[in-house]
Amino acid sequence: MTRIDGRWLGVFPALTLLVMLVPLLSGLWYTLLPSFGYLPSLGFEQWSLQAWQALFAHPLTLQASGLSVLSGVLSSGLALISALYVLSHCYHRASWRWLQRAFAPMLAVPHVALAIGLVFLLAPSGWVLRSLSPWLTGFSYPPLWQSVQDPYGLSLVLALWLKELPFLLFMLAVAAGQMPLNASLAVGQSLGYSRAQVWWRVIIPQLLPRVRLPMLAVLAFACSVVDVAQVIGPTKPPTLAVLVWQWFSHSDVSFRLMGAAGALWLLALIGSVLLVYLWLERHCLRWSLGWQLNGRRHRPRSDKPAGLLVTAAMLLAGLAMVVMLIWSFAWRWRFPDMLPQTWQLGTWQQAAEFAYSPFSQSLLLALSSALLSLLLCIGCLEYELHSDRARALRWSKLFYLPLLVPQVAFLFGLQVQLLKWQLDGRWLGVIWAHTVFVLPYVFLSLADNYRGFEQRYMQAAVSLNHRPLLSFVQIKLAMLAKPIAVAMAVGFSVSIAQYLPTLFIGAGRFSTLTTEAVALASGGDRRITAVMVILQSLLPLLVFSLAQLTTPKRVFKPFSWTFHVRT
Amino acid sequence: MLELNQLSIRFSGDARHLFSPLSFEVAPGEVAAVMGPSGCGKSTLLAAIAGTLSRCFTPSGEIVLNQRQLLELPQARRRVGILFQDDLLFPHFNVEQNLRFALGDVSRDEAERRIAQVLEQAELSGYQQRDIGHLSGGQRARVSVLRSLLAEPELLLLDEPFSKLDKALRAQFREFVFAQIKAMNIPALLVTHDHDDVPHGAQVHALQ
Repeated sequence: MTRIDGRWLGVFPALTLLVMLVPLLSGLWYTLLPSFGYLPSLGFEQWSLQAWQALFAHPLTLQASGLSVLSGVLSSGLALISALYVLSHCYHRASWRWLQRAFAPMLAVPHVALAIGLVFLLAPSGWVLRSLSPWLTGFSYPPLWQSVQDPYGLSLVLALWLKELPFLLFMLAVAAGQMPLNASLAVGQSLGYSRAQVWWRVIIPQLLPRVRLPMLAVLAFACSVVDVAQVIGPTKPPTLAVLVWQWFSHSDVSFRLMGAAGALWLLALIGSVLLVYLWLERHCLRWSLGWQLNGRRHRPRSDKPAGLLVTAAMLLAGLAMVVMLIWSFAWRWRFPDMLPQTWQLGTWQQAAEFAYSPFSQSLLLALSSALLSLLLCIGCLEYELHSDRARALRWSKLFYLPLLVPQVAFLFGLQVQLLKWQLDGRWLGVIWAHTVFVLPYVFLSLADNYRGFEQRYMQAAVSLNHRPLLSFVQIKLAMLAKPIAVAMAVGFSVSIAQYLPTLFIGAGRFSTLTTEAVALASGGDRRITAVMVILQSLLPLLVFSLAQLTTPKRVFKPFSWTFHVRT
Repeated sequence: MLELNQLSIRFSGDARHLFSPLSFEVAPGEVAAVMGPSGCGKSTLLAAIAGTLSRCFTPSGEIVLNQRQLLELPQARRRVGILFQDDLLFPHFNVEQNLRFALGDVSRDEAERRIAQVLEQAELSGYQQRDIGHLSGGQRARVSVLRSLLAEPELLLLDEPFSKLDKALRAQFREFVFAQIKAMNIPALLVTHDHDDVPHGAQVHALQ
């Protein structure tokens, strides 16, 4: 569009900041007040420190806090290290393309689907033990082991690691793609270092600051996740986020005050974790300078361990999905049989009844929040073109804020706020709550490609047909169709995976595939759970596949794409 | 007729001008050249005339095209065509679609007739359904010129349009462009840093 009609675009960043920050700030505010005893809507009007005293006097608080921080930090740390390790051995090698294709579906599958799959796989009655029984273990009944929901949170760490590994791998690959990688590798190797050595000594130190935001988001998520921890995390005590969620949903409403205090305590813990990460990132690079420059050369080490790691991760995720599929067709399946004695189609035939409502609500919520996010993001990015770029970049960073704050710390407060506006339990409220978490990922996915668009195409187009809006649709949006479709798919899958926003803001009137799957996972019928999880995973996968196909091949020939658009 | 009166450009919020004020006229069918080293503001001058100037810059003076004050108009209403160094053919359209995009509200038969006609002039008969990616550099450059002219601009701006072509193609393509401008009988403004690109006898202005 031309300069003159660019000014009204300022509406978009203003609206987006409103959509993102009003829930966050008002949510935190209305969590802060109850933590000091003030929650008039439930009849608490006496300011006090009781909630805080009760929080720290509670026998589970300390242990739950430790579990949250440890499982979060351990899983994110391991995911980062293994992603870097895999990258240093596989990036742009023969296996890379294959690896990318195999990991891509894992990005779309919701966290909790993978967690439930792991439970079906690793539980005492799960597939792994079935395959070893009774010939190796001698078991004819499932043992009383705690191989999932173990008190140390190890199975939770495994589930989080498995899901964050592909995400970090992709974010790292995108960041690496923006660096003069081949030149660094060529120079480093010509100086006698092995490929992996060049990665660790030269490339990774430059890479880490570029993935700071995704890494912080992963840490905050892993320390505060509720749905995954409910499914596969420890129970006595659970992690702090789950404990806080239990207090918020306790039938005795006075627990809400302690919940609010606990939520803010979790926020403080995660804030400290993020600060420590930032401090480590800065100082590790400085400390390791001596090692980077010590001049030792190694012969290239084997790529096999990296390949093994990747294969193990994929095998785990793949088997988790296969066992889910088998359960959905199983009828009688006694321990320790490897496969069901009798099969059936009944669960799938009934799915039309029990899954119709969650399916359609998931679909509607995901479509509307993803579309809304897309609209706002395109508006904001278009506004950037017509304004001071540096300033625009600064405020657009605020969009990522909701990813760094634990959901449980502000969704309760947001519920209080939306109650006042009579938006709780309504479509608009729930869509809004989803959008707060969908938009950052849509923006993250779209921004680079959109900013990289060769704007002279638009100048040429307007000079030819004199119609800015038509040119915008026919030229710019058409040429960006694929990144836009992918961003839409990303937003869609983020919305499908949302658990707490649906529960808090939906006021019990909304049930999605995710809320149903989590509810069923704790003791529900495994066959119905399996169907729910498969649907929950298939929807995002389907939308991602559509995004890959939306555009006729002719529109996006790789040559013209890389040559014109990404320069 | 294009007239520049005391045209000058400065950074917004800064008193200094990019170049000293320009005043000259370009008659229909004539090609005028603006020369200067890289970074002297040649492309910014063209952006001011085309209406694509970034907000960092503030123009002053007058640009008059056929009695219309251009600085007051948005890009879409200026009727100014631009040829860049890159052909900027839309990669998701074929040759015919690219050309069709520039034609106004004409019937399908009329569009087909005119597209066939201009392609013939450019020795590209039968190229309608060709994919943009399958054209040579010289062919793409010619299609790009045809596309600009089909929009019937009242002025054509040439932003070093020859600089990316190799030497043999360059002279040939230059003659093609100048002949087209002559035939359309519109003024054209060329910015370049290469004296070879300037047609004989053209007025040349140096940016300082």
